[in-house]
Amino acid sequence: MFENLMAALPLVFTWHMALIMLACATFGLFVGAVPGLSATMATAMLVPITFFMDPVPAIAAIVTTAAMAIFASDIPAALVRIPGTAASAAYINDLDAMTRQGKVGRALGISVTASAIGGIFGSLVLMVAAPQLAIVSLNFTSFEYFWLALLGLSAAVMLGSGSILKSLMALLFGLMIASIGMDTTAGFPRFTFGSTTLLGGVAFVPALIGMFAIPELIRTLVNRDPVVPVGNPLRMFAGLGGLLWRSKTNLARGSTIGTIIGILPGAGSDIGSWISYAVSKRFSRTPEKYGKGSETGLVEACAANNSALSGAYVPAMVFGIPGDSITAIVIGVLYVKGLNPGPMVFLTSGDQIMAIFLTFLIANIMIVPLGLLAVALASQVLRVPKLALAAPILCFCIVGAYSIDSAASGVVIMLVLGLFAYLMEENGFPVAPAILGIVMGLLVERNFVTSLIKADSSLLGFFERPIAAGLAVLVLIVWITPVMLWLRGRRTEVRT
Amino acid sequence: MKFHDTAIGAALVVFGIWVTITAWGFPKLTGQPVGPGTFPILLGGLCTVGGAIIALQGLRTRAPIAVLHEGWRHPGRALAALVAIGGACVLAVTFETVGFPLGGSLLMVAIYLAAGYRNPGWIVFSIGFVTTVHILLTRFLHVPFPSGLLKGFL
Repeated sequence: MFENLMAALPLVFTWHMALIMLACATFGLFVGAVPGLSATMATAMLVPITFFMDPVPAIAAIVTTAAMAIFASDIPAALVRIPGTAASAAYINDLDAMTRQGKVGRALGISVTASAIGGIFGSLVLMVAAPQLAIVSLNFTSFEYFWLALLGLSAAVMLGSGSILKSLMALLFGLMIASIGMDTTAGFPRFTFGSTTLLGGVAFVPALIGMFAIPELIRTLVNRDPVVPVGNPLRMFAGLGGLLWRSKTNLARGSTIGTIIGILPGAGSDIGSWISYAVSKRFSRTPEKYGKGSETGLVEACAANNSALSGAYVPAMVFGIPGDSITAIVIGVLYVKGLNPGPMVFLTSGDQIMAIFLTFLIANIMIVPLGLLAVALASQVLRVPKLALAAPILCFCIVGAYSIDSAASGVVIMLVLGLFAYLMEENGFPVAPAILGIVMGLLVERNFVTSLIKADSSLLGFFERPIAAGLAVLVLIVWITPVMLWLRGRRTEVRT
Repeated sequence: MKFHDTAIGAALVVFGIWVTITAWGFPKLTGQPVGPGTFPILLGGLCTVGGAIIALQGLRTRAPIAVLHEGWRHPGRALAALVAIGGACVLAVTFETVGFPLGGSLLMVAIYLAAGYRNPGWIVFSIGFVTTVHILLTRFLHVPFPSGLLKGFL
């Protein structure tokens, strides 16, 4: 490893690489900060350009763009409550609450630093133990994935401060939305009402934009809340060192959970961020602050988000199995460049692989200075009255919903689900579990049905494998604990 | 608009039953007791049970069947929200023919007027904003955004 590291250094520390990474970082920040434009879109647009580059700069360009775009998607999440990814939806209520308290700089400062630390942690794990960790992830079958996904969904239900039953119903609604379209096991069209547009299912990005942005837009136009005072965004790092030191357990736990879940193909940062946030709340001394501007929750979930992104490269590099859409693009570029992913690539091109891992580190370090600049520029938006921002925000929503499939059906989905989400929130049904249900629906269903077939429709089969049984116990604990607490509370009430 | 929990619960029960019945009609996989309907049946069943509990809990509380949020009682504010959502619906339907530059500009101008921003500067801002976004997306990011009626000009 040390020899490869030494050989990789001259490949990475060149002016040529520095310029490429800086340009891609700026591009990633721009695309990520525009609500509705995704990191996947940014990386996909870079692919044709990478054909003219050497392997290491090509992958560095994609990695830098993706890392920056994913961090930058937290900027519109904080400023106008439009999350860029399902992972950032886990802590959007905290970002939004802190913005409303005039602490947007601090919120984004936490996001910048925790994301960078989580990303660096994940990159180091990638450099040191990629092949060994990938072997562990191969032990996961449909049973383990089912329980892991269920754990993520359970975390989303338990996160809300309101009624657990209403959170559960919101989750069921999201899962039902996900079941619209062609079924994955038999290719049978479900709940499409004869529409060919719905055969491919409900696109996730328009749903995400609609369910968060449209209710906020309606509330802005109808409620006319007063303008929020904006703190100095350049003071975003003031007092942050102390907070990070106090939250070192959260940082370590978030980074570890994110990396472990990121390594599992298909699980990715979405589940990692949600589970991490739920774990943080469970072990917090002030769980009531979660969703209302909790800094520790933000630290842990942001760290998990970015560390999971690095973790997703473990199965990608070792087996060529993509953990998410961005790693799928990276695998394609690796093949084009002759660096065929697999265990042998670590032996035949060890220096180039180590150079690629080093670019992960650099990209995550670059998040801090460039993030500061981006936040300082973007936070000027908050000085404009929110009512005046409603029209441009709606335009951005339309742009984002249309761009994903280049079809107006995305705009319709965004509006319909947006209106539904408005009614949900007005009636105490949280939106976040529904979003996770839409994202995770197919994963849960596919693994549930596959496991049922494998186990001859016996539910006992879901508990037979050791890792699956362990995850099942965790899920059961998550569900039984609130019931026990409720029963104990009632018993105490009766006694008094 | 806030509805009474009993009404919401009842709606969820009806929805859950509909999902279950519809999914029951889906074919099963060959030689298997499971199929495309298995998961939706489970979801529909849970939705029905959850809806029933919410409805029963709602029976214990006394509240009107539906309450309109304070803001909706101001005609100007309600109009602004309706213009925004209705205008976006119209734009979605006519997106390919009218195009984003014209449709988006009209939508923004309509929202500003409905929200009480009567200064002509907002019209200029709307046109400039939509045109800039359109050019950035189509020229630099190569997103195939429809120019619609202004195809010859842009």
